[in-house]
This record gives sequence, structure tokens and C-alpha cells, in this order.
Amino acid sequence: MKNKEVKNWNFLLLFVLLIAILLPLCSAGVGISWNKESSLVPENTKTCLTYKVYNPWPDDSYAQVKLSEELMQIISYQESETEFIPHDTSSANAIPVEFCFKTPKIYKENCWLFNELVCKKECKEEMKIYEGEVEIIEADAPEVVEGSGGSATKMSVSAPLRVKVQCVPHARDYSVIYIAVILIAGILLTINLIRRKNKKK
Amino acid sequence: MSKKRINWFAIILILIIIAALILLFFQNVNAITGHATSQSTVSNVTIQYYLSISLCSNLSSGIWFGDVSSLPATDLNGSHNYDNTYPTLNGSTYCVNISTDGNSAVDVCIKADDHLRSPANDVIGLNNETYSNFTWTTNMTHPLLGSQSAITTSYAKSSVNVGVGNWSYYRFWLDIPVAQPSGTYNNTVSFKGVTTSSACGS
Repeated sequence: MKNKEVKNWNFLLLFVLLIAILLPLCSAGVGISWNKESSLVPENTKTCLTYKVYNPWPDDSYAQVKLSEELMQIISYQESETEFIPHDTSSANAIPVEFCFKTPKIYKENCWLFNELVCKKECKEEMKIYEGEVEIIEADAPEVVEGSGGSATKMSVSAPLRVKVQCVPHARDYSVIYIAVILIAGILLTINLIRRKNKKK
Repeated sequence: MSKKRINWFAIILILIIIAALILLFFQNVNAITGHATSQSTVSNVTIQYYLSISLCSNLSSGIWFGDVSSLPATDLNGSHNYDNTYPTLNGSTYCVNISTDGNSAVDVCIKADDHLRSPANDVIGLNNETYSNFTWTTNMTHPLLGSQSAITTSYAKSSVNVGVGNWSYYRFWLDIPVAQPSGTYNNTVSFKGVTTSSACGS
């Protein structure tokens, strides 16, 4: 009976020791969840994408959301740069982070007037792709100085993202010419009617 | 009784305005031509990835090489290179943990922001700061000193295809040249987790 008790205590001690050894191995962490790695967006259009951040680790963490330089060229809105992620936030309960991009006007148009008016677009150029990554960086990395020199550490996770800018071809747009014709004809018509009215008097 | 003259000029102008308005309308409205009957059904699939990493507490506290009193120093050990007691004695406690709450194996990328620099701007070149890594377990031998690579300022893959729930263990070493001025030298080393076979990025 006493032997059994001692065995149980030994087992418990071993278990506690194992936990004590393993626990210091864990710290706060960061996670990213995504379901879209590329997006096809017409030029000069705003589009939004949502990524999710999570933290399945035992400590709370702050995460900084960073877009790579290539994507920063076209970003128009970022919901938040730093997110608080409570501990034990699983991927199922991940916190959404939204970004919006405004794709630039990049494809050449063939215009008759002032490089702006009476234009057509043939889309013969190669598709422009902004290729980068969405990176979630742990923002509250502890600054513990143990020795006199060495390296502080940071961690992050990232997901790839390609924003493909779609060229939308269109035939020559004569709207400006039609409007000009309507205006000129309207003015001439008004003058003509006024003159006839005056003549009658 | 006076005969009323028809204003042909005005009529032509009105016709021109009407024609221009019609053309303007069709220029800006997508005309629907013809009828078609069809039925369609949507086919849809969403592929989702999620991954999370954590640095072991001794790694998140930094990689420190302690005080050095005689130069040159070669393969100076990081303070936690050999202080693990589990799974075996003298393993490393520098590790990156891949969460079980993930659905993709992870590649761990590593880089430093700069050379090790002192406040006086003296420099220990980054090629003197080296690492080696080993996945899943650690002991006296692994990560192996003989497999050391220099840390660079661009991300490089260190551990590849680390499965969910696994650890990747690291050891760090520093060489200090003989004529190195005294001082405290620091930089920042970053670890990034990406899905296996994805590029590390910038």
C-alpha cells in the first residue's frame, strides 16, 4: 500500500517537473489566417481584403500589421496598424483586419485630344501585378537585457498577396464631341430663335 | 394673308441635337442586344490557410553572448545554447514553436536588421554572428556547430517544413576579431513563419 502511494507521488512529481520544464518554452505568439492570396481588380478601383489574426498561445499579445513596400504603393486604407490579440484566441475566433487598395490608372489610352479626351483603350500591355505580403509582427517583444551584448529578437508570420490590376478595354469614347455638338447647336438655335423673334417685332 | 416661312435652320439644329443626344446615350449605356435564356449554378471552393508561431521564452528574451574579456573569441556560445534539460540534457532552449492550431507546415525565415553595433558605432560584422538549427529535438550535438550559417540582413530560410505542433531548435555563436574595440554591441534578429515553400519576403 505504501509502495503504491510512493509510486503515485513519484508519478505526480515527474508530471509537475515535466510541466515546469515545458512551460518556460511557451510565450506569446502571433498567427495569421487567410483565404485569398491574389485579387484581380480593375484599374482605378477600390477593393478591400480581410485577413485574420489570432493568438493560440497562453499570453496576450499585440500585433502590428504591416504590408510590404510593393503593396504600400497602392494602399488607400488600413483599418488598424496595431491589434490587441487576447491569449487563447483560436483560428476559429480570429480577429479580422481589413485593408483597402485603390488600384492606380496605369494602362495607356490612345487619345485624340489633350491626352485626356476622346480616348480608346486596347490593353496590349502586360498585366501589372503588385506582389508582396501581409505580415503580422509581434509588437510587444520584451526588451530583456541578459548580458552585455547580443541580439534582441522579434517574430512575425506572413501571408503572400498579389494584387493584379486588370485592364478594361473600351472603344473610343466620343462623348465629349457629342456634348460639344449639342452645346454649339443649342447656342446657334437660341441665337436663331432670338433673331427671328426680334425681326417679327 | 402672309405665308409663314419655315425655319429650316432651326429644324436642322434640333435634329442635330437629337441625334447627338441619342449617340451620347448609346455611348454611355451598355445596350442589350437580343434575348437569351440560360440557367446556371455556382461552383465554389475556398482554400484557407492559417499558421501561428511563438518564440520560446529564452529566445524571445534575446540572444546574449555575455561578457568577453579576451580576444579573439571564436564560436562564443549564446547564453542558452546548452541549458535545456528536456528532452535530453544540454540541449538548446532557443526555439521556435509551431502551433497545433494551424493547417500548414511552416518554414522559418531568419534575418538581422544590421551588424552588431556599439553606441560608438563600432561594428562586429554580421558574418561573425552564426546560427544552426535542428527540428523536433535538441541534445548536446544538435543543433550542430559544424552546420552553422551566418545571419544576413535579408530573410533566409532556416528551418523548412516544420509540422504543426513541432519545435525548431536553434544555437547561436559569435566570433569577435582580435582588434575589436570594447563596448556593448547589439542588433535585432527577426524570425518569420511562412507556409512551406512560400518565399520569405522582405
